[in-house]
Amino acid sequence: MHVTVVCALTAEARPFIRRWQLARIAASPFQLLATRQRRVIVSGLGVHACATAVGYAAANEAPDAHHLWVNFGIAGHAASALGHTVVATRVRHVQARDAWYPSLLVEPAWPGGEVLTHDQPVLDYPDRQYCDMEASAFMAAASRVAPLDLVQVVKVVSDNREHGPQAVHAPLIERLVEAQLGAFDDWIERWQACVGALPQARADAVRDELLARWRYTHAERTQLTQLCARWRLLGTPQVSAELAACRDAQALLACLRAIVDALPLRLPAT
Amino acid sequence: MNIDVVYVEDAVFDHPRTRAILARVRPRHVIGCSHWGEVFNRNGQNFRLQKTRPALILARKLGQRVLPIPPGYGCGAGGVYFSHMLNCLYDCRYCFLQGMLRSAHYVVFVNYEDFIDDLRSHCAAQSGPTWLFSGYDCDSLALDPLTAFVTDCVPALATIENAWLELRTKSTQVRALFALETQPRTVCAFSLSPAAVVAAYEHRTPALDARLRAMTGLAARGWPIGLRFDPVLPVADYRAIYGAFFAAVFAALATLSLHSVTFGVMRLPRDYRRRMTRLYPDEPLFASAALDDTPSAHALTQEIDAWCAAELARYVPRERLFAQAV
Repeated sequence: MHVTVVCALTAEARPFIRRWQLARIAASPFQLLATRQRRVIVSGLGVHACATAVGYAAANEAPDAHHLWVNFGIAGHAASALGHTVVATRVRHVQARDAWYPSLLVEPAWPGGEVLTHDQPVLDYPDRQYCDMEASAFMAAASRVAPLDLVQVVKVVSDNREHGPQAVHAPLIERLVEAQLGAFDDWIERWQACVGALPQARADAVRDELLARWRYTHAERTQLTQLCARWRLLGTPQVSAELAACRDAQALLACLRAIVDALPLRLPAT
Repeated sequence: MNIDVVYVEDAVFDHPRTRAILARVRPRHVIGCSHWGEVFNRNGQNFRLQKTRPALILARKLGQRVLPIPPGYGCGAGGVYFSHMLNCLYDCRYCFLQGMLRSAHYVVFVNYEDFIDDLRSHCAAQSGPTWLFSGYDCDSLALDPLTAFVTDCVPALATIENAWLELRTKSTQVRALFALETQPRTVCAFSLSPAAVVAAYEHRTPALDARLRAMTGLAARGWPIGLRFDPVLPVADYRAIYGAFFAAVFAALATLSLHSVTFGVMRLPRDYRRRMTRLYPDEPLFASAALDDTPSAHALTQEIDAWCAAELARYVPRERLFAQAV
């Protein structure tokens, strides 16, 4: 499973970069660092920067249906201690009525909390919510490129009524984020197991052989893939003399459809 | 059953039924929401993933609570259905809810009294007997230990003089019915399938034997019993599989006086099937041309329908046997 972490600040990203030994893929317009299955992108502050960074990262991703997206960053809270970490169970922009509810399909390593996204740094903390500047945009953007259930927000408290945002500095942020990475990796492993319930892409030798023999339009290629998938589920595919004798892709698809449509549905042997 | 996450609509946080359900569930996370649709109806949710850990949503049903059943219902034609709950504890691969709903989370509408009032008004406006179906968008009984739907609603609905209630279920959660006075116009309708179909497609459901035991227990207490052979799957050797199955069921229930028996071949609207195929691309059931909207598939459906009608007529009087063409 691929994981993309979207951080607003370089100081939030640095602990991930060190821990996962990420290499720089791009420096502009966003810093994007990656290994084979882990990526971190530094979006900059604010909702517009965050949504744009998600789009940029999505356009640069390896094709993979099962991709977890996480917005990991700092937040302010009225009373929680510095370093207290929450997984968002509800995310809302302060000026919006609708909220997002990230799925709790995997038991989180941290307690749940409501994240309220503002356009400016907050000095007057609400009693209950965790205040940030990206999460609502992240939910809106990432849920367009991944299943909503695989879009998550994690926030670490960096400031509160006692310790205001003016006292937040890069070394403190790094320390706070670093302290959560062990729990974060465990959580990712549990996601990996959960996502294992989804179908995985399979190699299909018969499809590959049929693809190699004729020329196909894009639509015909899609039809061939679908027919071969059905064939594999209902029978035992093999390239017969009848198929091999087809003149072109159209004739092949017609012949293949007749074969697949005639296959009966059988109950699995018990 | 473990439900770790419960979303509660702000409007029902203090509802006594919400409190009671939360006390029974004891979830790890209770999350407030302003409207259940914010959680349930969002685009981009993955039904299959959510089935691994469904959440419960407690909400209030506003708007239309009583809806006409689709045409083609053989037993109870002209009746209405109501859904105090959406989704189901079970994970039947053929279930149309996977194609109809965006989320696999369970929704329980806790304002049962509003449903009862609406059903009472509906029945008052009818001149004759009226059927009320409760298990259209859920299993009527499967979550009853949490929802107390039977205890809270069945006696109340039984007081509507022209109402016949159908509780449709695959479950064996009949204890609450055992505790009630028998209601002669409440039909406990059990969906049954051959053991091989249960094993292959009806994940997390009670075994056929357990359903038969629950059924005979209810019948012994005088509850009217219905059998629902729906869906009959268009499998290659359906005559052998379903023939042996019908024989076994009616042998086991030989002493029962059945209220009704219905049957229907599996059918799916095209959009639902497309969504279900996308969710389960590895499922042979959805790969079969027998579910297509084509003349040959329709011919097979008619053939199976005719065979079921003839076969079941060997065990059930014609006036109690109904085809479901929905």
